[in-house]
Amino acid sequence: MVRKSPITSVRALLALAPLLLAWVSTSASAEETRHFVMSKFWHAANNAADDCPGGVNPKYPELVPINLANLGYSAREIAALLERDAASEGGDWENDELTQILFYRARINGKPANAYMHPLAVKDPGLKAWGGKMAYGFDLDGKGETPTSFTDPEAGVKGVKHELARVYGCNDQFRARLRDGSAAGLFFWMAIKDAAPAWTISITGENLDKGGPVTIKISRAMEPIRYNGNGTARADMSYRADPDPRTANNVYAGEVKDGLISITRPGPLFMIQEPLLFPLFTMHQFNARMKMNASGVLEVLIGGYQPIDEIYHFCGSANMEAEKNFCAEPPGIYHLLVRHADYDRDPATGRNRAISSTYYLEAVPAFLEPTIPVGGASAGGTQ
Amino acid sequence: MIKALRRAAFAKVAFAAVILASAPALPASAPSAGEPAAPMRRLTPEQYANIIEEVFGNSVELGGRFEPDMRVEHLNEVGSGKVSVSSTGMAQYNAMARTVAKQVTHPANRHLMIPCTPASAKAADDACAKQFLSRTGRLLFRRPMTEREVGIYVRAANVATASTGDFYTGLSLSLSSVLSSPQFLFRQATIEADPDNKGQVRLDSFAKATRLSFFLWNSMPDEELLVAAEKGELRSRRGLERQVARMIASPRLEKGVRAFFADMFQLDDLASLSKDSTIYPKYDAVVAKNAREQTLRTILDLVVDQKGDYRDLFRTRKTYLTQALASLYQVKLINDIPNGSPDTWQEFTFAPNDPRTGLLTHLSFVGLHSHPGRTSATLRGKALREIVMCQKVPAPPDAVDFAVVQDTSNPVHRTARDRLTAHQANPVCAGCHKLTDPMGLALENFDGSGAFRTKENGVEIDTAGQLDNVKFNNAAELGQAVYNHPATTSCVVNRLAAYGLGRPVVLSDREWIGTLTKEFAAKGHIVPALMQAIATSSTFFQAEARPPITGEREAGN
Repeated sequence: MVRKSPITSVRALLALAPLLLAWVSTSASAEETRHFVMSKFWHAANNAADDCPGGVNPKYPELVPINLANLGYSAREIAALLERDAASEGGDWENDELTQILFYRARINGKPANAYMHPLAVKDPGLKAWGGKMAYGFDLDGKGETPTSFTDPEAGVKGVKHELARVYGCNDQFRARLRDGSAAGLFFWMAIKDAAPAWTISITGENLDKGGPVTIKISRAMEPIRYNGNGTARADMSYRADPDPRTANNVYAGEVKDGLISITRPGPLFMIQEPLLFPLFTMHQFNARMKMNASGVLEVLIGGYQPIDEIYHFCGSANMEAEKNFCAEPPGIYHLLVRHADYDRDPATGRNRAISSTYYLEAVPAFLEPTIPVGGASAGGTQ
Repeated sequence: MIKALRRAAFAKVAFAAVILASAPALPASAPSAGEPAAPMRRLTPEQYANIIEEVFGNSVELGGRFEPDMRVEHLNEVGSGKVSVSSTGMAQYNAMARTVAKQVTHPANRHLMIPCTPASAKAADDACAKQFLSRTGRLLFRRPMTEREVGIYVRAANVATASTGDFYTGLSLSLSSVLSSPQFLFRQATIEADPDNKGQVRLDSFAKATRLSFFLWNSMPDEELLVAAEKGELRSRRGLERQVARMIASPRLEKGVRAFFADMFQLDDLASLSKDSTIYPKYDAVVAKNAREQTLRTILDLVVDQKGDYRDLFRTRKTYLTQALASLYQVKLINDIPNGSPDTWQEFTFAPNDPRTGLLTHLSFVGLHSHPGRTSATLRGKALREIVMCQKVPAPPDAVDFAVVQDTSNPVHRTARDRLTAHQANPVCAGCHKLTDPMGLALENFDGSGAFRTKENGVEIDTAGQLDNVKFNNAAELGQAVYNHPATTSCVVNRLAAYGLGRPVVLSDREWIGTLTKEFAAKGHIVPALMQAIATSSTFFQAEARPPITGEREAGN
């Protein structure tokens, strides 16, 4: 057997180069890519009236005496504190007696500590979890139906893992139907939409209308999404792709079948979002399912196992404002997240660090100008 | 206190006196009552703004609202000779005059805008007030002020200075009087006896200069033109031609071309055009403003920068877009500027296979000539006939039933063509619709906001039609048919002539218009050349406006 020298092989490859280039360009020209930018984003809820036996969790005013009691205050002391608080003008939270007590209701070595930064150092207020059976999402672990899994109410998928729905589901601020968005979800989205660069979804395939294999890329634009005069997302706007190499690997094999576009090979997702409320959005076993509605809007479900600290940042970073307005009882939510986390066990603590979760988003058609990722064109690739 | 009130009251009386005293002074040879008078044209908002910018700089804000223009015979410029000023309008002019005058005399600006410093800022200074007011007045009135006028405005400034104890306040009040006077607000075609034609009158030199500058630049004469008028150079053919050639070569020609085409294509109507945002969510006030600018930039590029064939406006693929417009037109346009910055204008050429060609496919045409919630092949066809081809389309008869046409969700007549065909079953309607609909239907691929579509209610749109026996299959071919149609050429000549004259073209202008049209066509349909030919013709400087004779058709059609 005669072995070809490396040089001979290189020569042969060079000779074939024009043919290879022609094949590559033919393949490329047969494909089309459609781009979309995200125009709505919130966690996928599926709440209905009376789906929390005994009612939803108490709200901030009812939680105050519970938290004070957990700190050891007597009923008389609590009543006096509340009376003094009602008589005060409020506004100056740094000198507000009740606010200071609640803000520093965590205890580390017996000393008061910031409750929002150290939620596990606050006594668990015992918020109840949601016990519904129908939740949007994906069979993330591939185990099919289990006693704790859900069934997707629209796709009919069994074995859905969406423990975040349990965490949020009995707190008024998070309760909603899928397309309406909860108060917390809307607050979050309204807060970031005009500032955070838009997420982009690019779908590439040979025949996106008929079906077949596709490549799905999730990335970011350089610009925030633009809106119409009536407040709806503006379709067909042009955006530049963010050259940040950290999002370059969010490329997944997928398929189009019966008008449904889905990821067939889940993988990790790394996204950068808005610095204040959701600086990072990462997932293990990232999955997505999307379809175009009658208005030309892409309705998308994304799911995966998400680090609980990334989820909690939304509540914890806004501390007392979050507690009063849009995030139920943040330390209580964190306790729920820890209890329901179902992925990425920490060998040191034995606790799971990630939780199965599903989000709903909408996206409108857009033009996307490719940019070379920082670090070179080779960065990134299909999962 | 009473003394202060008396001072203020006196200042007000002096101000009013200035306004009254500044009524137009007619020359001895002015026609007597009942004879055709030389027209006065009210400044358009754009002309007002242009003059203020040129005299005082672009940092001066107007701070007021203008009364609406009136379109007569398809042109606001013709209407400007038929409008007056209402009491509300006068109040607005006064408010703007005071706003502008305050900025001019403001301590931060006065050293730039006032050429002298008074001996004392707390006392009247005849010499300085005279210097400023006569110099500024010459520009604002487009002619030197008379000694009497200067005297009145200086006296008014002195009275106000005396009552307020501040020279600049006095000057400001007097300047606001100048800016509120009819000599400023109206372009007056002042006349003088014509020594070459006994018993006849002619425009005086300053009126000629004014007519030229507003026609070519949409603003007041510059210093060189005023000097030429003062020296009588505009009386000679050579002097006139030299000035016109200079003006045509000036960058200020763009303002004149903009003003004419905005008027001809009725682009100002975009400012009040509303659409149903549920049906057309991409349409808003910003897009409307952009649409006007898109068309004007396209015109300026082809007509002024490229010195191209006017008719190519109906088939050019080159245009200018903002990001918002690009999204409506569904094309990619990248904005390489920091986030949050206003949209930028970029040159853009639609691809050869793109359905968008020529002005007729711009939002400023298909959107402007549509209803708020649906297209209108009839309105579009009518606009094409009347605006682009200067042909009259009769108004619909009374009590017409439009129910079928308006029913865009009609389960049987699902496209505009179907609905209009059904509507034309009424023979009373059919006659006029034959004039308009075949062209309008060619533009049905563009919805009421100008966005492209191939289907209406799920049915493929048929865009075939014909224009005066020339058949076409789509908007691009319609553009070519408009390009080839002789009325396209004669119409722009008619409109430009009427725009310059400030009155409709009449039958007796036929020979002049005929000559202009022939030359325009022979020289490649170059608009600046046509403007030059008009601006150097004797008809353009006719002293008397001749009202159109009832029943006369526009010449050239």
